[in-house]
Amino acid sequence: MNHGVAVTILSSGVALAVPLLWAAIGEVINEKAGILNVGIDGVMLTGAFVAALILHDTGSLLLAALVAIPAGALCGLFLSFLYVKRGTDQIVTGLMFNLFIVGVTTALYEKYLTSSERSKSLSEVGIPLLKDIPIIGPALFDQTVLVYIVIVAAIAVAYLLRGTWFGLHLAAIGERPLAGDTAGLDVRRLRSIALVIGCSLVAVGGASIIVTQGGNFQPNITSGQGFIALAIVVLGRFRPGWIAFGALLFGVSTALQYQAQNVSWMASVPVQVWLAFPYIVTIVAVVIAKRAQYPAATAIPYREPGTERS
Amino acid sequence: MSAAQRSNGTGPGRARLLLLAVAAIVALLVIAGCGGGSSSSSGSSTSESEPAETESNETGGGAEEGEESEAGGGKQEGFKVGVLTPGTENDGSWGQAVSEGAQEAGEKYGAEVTIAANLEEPSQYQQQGLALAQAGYNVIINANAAMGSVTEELAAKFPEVMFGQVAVGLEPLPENVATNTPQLPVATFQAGVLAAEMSETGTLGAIGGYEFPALTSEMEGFALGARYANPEIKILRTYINTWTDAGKAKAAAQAQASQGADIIFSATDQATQGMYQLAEGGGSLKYVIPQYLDKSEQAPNVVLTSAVYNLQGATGSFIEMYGDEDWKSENVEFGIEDGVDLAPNPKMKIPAAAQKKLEEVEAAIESGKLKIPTIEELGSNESAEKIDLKSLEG
Repeated sequence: MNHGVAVTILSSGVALAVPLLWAAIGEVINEKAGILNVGIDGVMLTGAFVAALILHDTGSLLLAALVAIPAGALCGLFLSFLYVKRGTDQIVTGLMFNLFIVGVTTALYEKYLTSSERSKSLSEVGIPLLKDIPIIGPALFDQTVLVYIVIVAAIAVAYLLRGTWFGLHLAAIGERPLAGDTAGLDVRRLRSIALVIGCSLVAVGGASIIVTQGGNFQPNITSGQGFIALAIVVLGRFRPGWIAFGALLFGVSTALQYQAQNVSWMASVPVQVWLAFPYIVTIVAVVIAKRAQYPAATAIPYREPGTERS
Repeated sequence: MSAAQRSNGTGPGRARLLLLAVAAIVALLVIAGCGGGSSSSSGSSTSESEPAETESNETGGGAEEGEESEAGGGKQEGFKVGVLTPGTENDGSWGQAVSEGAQEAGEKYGAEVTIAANLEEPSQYQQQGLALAQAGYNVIINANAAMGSVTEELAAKFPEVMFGQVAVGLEPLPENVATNTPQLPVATFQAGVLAAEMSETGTLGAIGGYEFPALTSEMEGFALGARYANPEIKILRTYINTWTDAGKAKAAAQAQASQGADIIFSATDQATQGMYQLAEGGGSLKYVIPQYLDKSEQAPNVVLTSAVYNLQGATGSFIEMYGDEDWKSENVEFGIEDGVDLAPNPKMKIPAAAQKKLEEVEAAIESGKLKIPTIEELGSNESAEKIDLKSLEG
């Protein structure tokens, strides 16, 4: 598998983009429904932790990835209780949730998990003919199965949002929940469902970090990737296709920084600049994407007219 | 519009009750926290026993024990040792090496060893150290080379407590402080020699966690050793800004492999997993050299050897000095005779020629014929290239 520098950048970039993409396609469901889930990093961390726990106990990569789904769903339920039922400030609640999860997972990790063993991790599976296409072949078609699955998932989410009634209802309540309510939609229930589905996908993103990287959980292993996913969702104008491109952009710039540290003219730039490079790229992209707008009712808890909090 | 009617939901009476309850809980926590008691080993981001009062009672806490170092060579028993470290007891890396060393040494004296793990920020080291000192700990060991100033501060506040600092020397050295700095390049130099002998492409890689002198000296020591064995060797250096992210390490390793590196030295912790993955995948990367502990078990087919620094001994030395009532406030440096060396992988077959060269180099270092530069001399990026190879042979 001896590739040239460019192919390596693409190939590493795709692998690095996977957790981001999972998280972003989950988050886009939440945001379409009008929920700004800043707690996305916490949900990813939860998914990663339970995956590591299951992997440690059972040795099964498949189970580890699958268990993230109910774990994420539970997070979604918990968050929907806070965001939707209690109507708390979404940004503050999300941040608190992140802190809480970091604390809980770190404490549990120290008690139950060890990092000195090695667990299995997914190996790459090449798709026969396709992987021999020059350049894109090895980059796109010689990856772990999670890459292939996330692409399918992204397409499924795109269909969900634009081609199903559920998706249209979500879009409606994201923009004008009052109008949706008047038309007979149960706004709160729809948002809860969106949160459950969305957070399940986000948690799979967290699990993907564990399953493809040797199975060892570390405190705060997501290291802010949840927030990058938030940026990618906006960048992608809430469309899974563009979101995939955004995730790839970030993954590739991360991969590029490692090549750059050793390639002639680029190596004379201080290391720290390269290490900041992916984040600079993200900021620049978000600034350029200034015409993207959140659904009008994002982050505003919904109250049916005439009801008062008891 | 209902969206605008954000009614409070709880009436004034309810709100006051809630406030009262919260205040009561906070008060209880403060009282519980200040009631002394040592912190447990789950020292994560918030320190539980954060002192609410000022440091006015510090001498009270430190002198509580009474039996400090008396004259005459006796042995202390049952004293309390605290270790402040990044990583955890079971992280398979720095934290584990340091903890093992402390616990082994502590057992000899029946000492109570407490590991405060996962500390990252200076404020965390401060708070945790403060709490331990106030709780009457006799020896406090700081196992983070970047936190030397915290040790100095705490030592000034608690003259009755003995402080050990691992991996960095301190000047001026207070009487109650001792340091032990394993000379990292001594081990990584040898790793570089071996790697250069075994490389088929003539290109080696070094991947480091963060760029600071102690870490950089590990990588530069490796580069220097490789140059010593093969002056034509090419070394790629990459910093990934993480100790633990295996995905990033793998991407960095892929980048180096694509530029021809077939052996990579890993100056990180758990992130090395990503490099093992790549090496086992059958590509151009053949071997990985990890550090801190003998890690051949982790990937027996790709771990060429491990660079070890006897962190265990360094950490344990403070406990032994205190336990033997032989406290020497000195900046000690551990070299090859103290165990800063390579830990070979029993399952790895090294070709005879490479083995011979390695043994020659080892003997030369032991006899003093070969002088390995210090951490300071190798502390900046690419410093290995600037050193004249002939100057090493003293």
